[in-house]
Amino acid sequence: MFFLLLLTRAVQAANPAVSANADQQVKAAFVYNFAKFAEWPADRLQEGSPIVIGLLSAGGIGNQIAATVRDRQIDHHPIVVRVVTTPVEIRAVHLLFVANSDQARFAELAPGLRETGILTVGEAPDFARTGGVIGFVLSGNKVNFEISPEAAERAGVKLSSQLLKLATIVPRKG
Amino acid sequence: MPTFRDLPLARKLTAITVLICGVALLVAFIVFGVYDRTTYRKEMTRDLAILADEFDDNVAPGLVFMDTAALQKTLQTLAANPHILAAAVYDQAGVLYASFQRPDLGGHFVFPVADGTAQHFVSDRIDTFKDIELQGERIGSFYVASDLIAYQLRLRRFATMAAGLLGGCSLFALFLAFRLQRVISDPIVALATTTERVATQKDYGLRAVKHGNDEVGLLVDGFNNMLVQIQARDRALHAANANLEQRVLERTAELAETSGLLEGMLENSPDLIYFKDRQSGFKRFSKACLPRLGLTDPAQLVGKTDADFFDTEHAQLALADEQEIIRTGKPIIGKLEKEIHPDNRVGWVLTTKMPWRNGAGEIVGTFGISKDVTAWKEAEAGLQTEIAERRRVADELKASDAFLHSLMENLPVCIYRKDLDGRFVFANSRFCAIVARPPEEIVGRTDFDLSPPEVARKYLDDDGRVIATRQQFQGEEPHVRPDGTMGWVQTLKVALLNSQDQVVGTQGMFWDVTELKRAANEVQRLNSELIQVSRQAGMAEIATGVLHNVGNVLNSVNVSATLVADQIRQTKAQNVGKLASLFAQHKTDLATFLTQDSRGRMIPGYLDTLAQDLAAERATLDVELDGLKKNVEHIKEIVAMQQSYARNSGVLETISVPDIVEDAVRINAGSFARHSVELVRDYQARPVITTDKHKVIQILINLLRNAKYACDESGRTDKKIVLRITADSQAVRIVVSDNGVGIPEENLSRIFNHGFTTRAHGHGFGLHNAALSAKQLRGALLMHSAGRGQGATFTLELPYQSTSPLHDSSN
Repeated sequence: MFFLLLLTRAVQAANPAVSANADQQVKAAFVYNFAKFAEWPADRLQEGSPIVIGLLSAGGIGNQIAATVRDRQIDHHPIVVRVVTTPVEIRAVHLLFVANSDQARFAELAPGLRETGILTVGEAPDFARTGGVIGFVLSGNKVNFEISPEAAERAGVKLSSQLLKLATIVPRKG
Repeated sequence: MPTFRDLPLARKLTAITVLICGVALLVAFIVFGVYDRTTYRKEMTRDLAILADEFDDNVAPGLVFMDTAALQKTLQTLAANPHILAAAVYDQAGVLYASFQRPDLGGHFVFPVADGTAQHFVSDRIDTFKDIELQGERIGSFYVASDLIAYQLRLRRFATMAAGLLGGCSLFALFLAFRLQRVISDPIVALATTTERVATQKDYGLRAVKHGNDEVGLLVDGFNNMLVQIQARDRALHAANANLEQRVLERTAELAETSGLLEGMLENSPDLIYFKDRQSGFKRFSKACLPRLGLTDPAQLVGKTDADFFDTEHAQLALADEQEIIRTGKPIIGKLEKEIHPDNRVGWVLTTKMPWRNGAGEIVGTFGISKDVTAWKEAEAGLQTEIAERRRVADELKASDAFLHSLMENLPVCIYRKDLDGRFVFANSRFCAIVARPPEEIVGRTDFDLSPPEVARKYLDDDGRVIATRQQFQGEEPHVRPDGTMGWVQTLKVALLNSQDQVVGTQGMFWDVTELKRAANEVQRLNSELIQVSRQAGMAEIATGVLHNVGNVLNSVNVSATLVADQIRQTKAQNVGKLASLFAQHKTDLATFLTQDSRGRMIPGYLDTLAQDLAAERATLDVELDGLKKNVEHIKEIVAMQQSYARNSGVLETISVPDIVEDAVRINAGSFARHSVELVRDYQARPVITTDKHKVIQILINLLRNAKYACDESGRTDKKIVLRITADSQAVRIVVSDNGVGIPEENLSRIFNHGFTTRAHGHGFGLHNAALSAKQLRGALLMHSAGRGQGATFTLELPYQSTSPLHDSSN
C-alpha cells in the first residue's frame, strides 16, 4: 500500500488532473492510520468489537476510505465504514470523517458531539481549529495534518505522542 | 647442524621442558581467544538487536504518515555511536524509504536488500534487520550496520598480551629447566665419560661413580658389574686366542687339501659340474662346461644363467627345478634332460642336482652334475623307431592277412593248398562246401579221398607238372558236382615257393564255369545262326535284284516273242498256199489260165510283190529273233553272275574294283531306276585287288541299298548317289555318298551296332555285318555324316598293293 502511495505521489507531481484523487487516497490511508494511533475509552470500544468509521454522506472520499480499510484489523478490532445521518447513529461511531461537502452539516452537529468519545477527522481548512480533532492541511503537494489536543481531550480520545510529534499542534484556546 | 637426537642430554632436557611450557600456554591462549571472540560477538549482536528493537517503534509513525524528514531525524540520532556504519528504513515492499550513513563513508555505503528480522556477519561488519510492526501489521523493515573495529581492537590487545606472556614464561621456564636438568643429566654424563675412557683405553679396571639409588644408580652398578665380568672374560680370551691360532693353521691346511681336490675335479672331470647361486647364476663349474657352452674363458660363464646359452624351454625347466630344490632342499637325481645348443644341436644329459648349503646349513644355491648321454639316447631312439616300424609292419601284415582271408572266404572261387605229397594243407569255405566236407576232414587228405580215382589221378598229374615246371596250369576241366551232375570248372594251379625259392607245394583255385560255358556255347550258336540268316538275307537281296533284272529282260523277251508271233500270224506266206490251190484248180489249163484268165494274168506280178513282202518279213523276224537271242543271253549272264556271287565265300579271287562296283550297281539298277535316283560315277582309279569277292559285293549292295533308302526317306527330288573309287599305295577306297536323310549326331556312335536300325523293317544287321566283313577283309568301313538331312558318306577301305597292274577296262 505504501508502495502504491509513493507511486501515486510521483504521478501526482507530473499530472495535476489526478492529484485530487491521489490526495483522497492519501487521506483515506491517513484516516486508517489515525485509528491506529488513537485510543478510545474502554466503554466505547470493547475488546474484539469493530471500530466504526462514520461518514456523513456516501460516495467521494467515503468510498476511498471503505476501500482502504476493507479486510483490515487494528489490534484485533475489525473496521467497519458506515454512513450515518441521525445524531444517534453518529454517536455510535468511533471515528467520524467529515468531507469538505459535509462541513456545513458537521457544523450543525458539532456541539452535540463534543464529549461523545468520537475522533473527528475533517477535510475542511481549520477543521481542527473549529472544534474537530484532526484536520487535513495541504502544504504544497503534501498532505499534512493538524491536531487539536484540546478537542481530543474533550472527546475523551487519547492520541499517541508519536502521532502528535508528526502533526501541527493547534494551540489551546483557554 | 646436529639433529635433536645428537644434542647433549642437558640441552635436550632443557629444550623439552621449554617446549612443553610454551605449547601449554599457546593452547590456553587459543582456547581463551576463541571463547572471548564467541562471547564478544554474541554480546555485540544482542546490543544491536536491542538497538533495532528501540528504533523499530520510533520510526513506525514516520513511515505510515510518510514523514521522511521525521525519519531522517530519528536515524540521525545513531551518529552518536561511532561504530554504527549506516541505518535505513525500508517500506513494506522493501523500498529504501529513509537512510543514514556515517559521514566518513562519503555516501559510498551500499545498502543491502531488505530482509526479515535477522543478523549476519558480513566481512567487516554486522548487519541487523528488524521488522517494523504497527498494531500487529508489518509495515516495513529497519536496518542497522555496525563495524567490527571495537572487536578488532580487543583482539589485537589480546594477541599482544598473549605474545608477551608466552615470551616471558618461556624465558622463565628456560632458566628453571637449565638449572634443574642437571640433577638428571650430570650422573649420566659422568657414566658416559667413564664408558668412553674404558672403550678408548681398554682399561677394564676403571669404575663409574654412583650418585644415588635411582635408575641411573642402578645403571652404574650394572655397568661396573659388567666391567668385572669383561675383565674376567678378557683374560680367558687371551688364553683361548693362543690356542685358536694353532687350530686355524691346522684347519687352513685341511681346507687347502679339500679345495685342491675340488679344484682337481672341476679341472679334469669330463662331466659338467656346476655350482649356481640362488638366482641360478653360475658360480663355480668344471672346465668341461666351457666347450659345451661354446666358451673359452671361465669369466664368460660366471654370473650367467642357462637362459644365456640354452633355448627358453630348457632354461625355464632348469630354473624351475633349481628353484624347487632351493625351496624344498630336496635333490633331483638322475633326470634326463633335453638340451638344444646354440648351434641347434640336440643333446641329452643325465643330471643330478643338489641343494648347495653353506657352513650354517642354509641353502645358498644348487650344484649339479650332468653327464652327456646323447649317444646312448640316440641309440635308444633308433631302437624305438625300429620297434615302432616292426609294430607297423606287423599291423600291416595283419590287415593284409585279414584282407586275404576276406577275399578267400568271400570270392566265389574254391581255393586250396597242398604239400608236395598232394595232401591238403588249406581249404577255403567254398571248397569245403563244394566237396561237402568240413575243413578238418579235408586237411591232411589227398584227392583220392575226395574224388573218383581217375579224376584224382589227373589232378595228381597236373600237380606233378606244376611242381616240376613251376609253370602255371590253367584249363577247363569236367567236374562232378556234389549233386552228381557233370559240370565244368576253370582251374588255375601254381607252385608254392618258400623264401629260399624252393617248391613246397601247390596252390589251386577253381570256379564253376558250367553256366558260363553254356552261355558261351549259346552265344556261339546264335551268332552262327545269325550269320547264316544274314548270309541268306544277303543272298536273297542279291536274288531279288537278279530276279528283278531277269524280269525286266523277260519283258523285252515277251515283247519280242509277241511281235514275232503276230508277225507270223499275219505273214503273207499263207498267200503262197492260195496261189498253190489256184495252180491246182488250173493244173490242166495252167498256161491258158496264166495267159487268158484275168486273175491268172495278174499272178506273176503278185508273185513278185509277195517275194518282196516275204523278204521284208523275214528281215523283220531276223531282227526280232536276234534281239530275243540277245535278251536270253542277258538273262544267262545275270543268272551266271548270281551264281558266281552265291558261291561259298572264303575264296580269294583277283578282281577289278570298278567291275565289282558295276556289278553291285547292276544288281540294284532296277531299284535306282524305279526311284529315279541319279547315279554319279567318279572312278579316279581302277585298281585290281585280290579279295573275297562275295563279301565285297555284299558290303557294296548293302551300302547302295542304304544310300537309296536314305535318298528315298529324304523325300527330295534330286536324289543322287556318288560312287567314287580312289587308291593309294596302301589302300583302295570305295566311297558311297548320298544326299539323303543323313545320320544325327547321337546315332553316329551306334550306327555299326548289332541290331541298330532306323528303318521300319530293317533288322539292324546289314551295317553291323558289313563292318565285320570289312574287318575280316583286313579293311575297314568308315562313315561320315554332317548330321540330320546332310547326307552320309560310307567308305569301304580295302588293303592294296599298288604294284598290281591297274585293271584296264572300260564301261
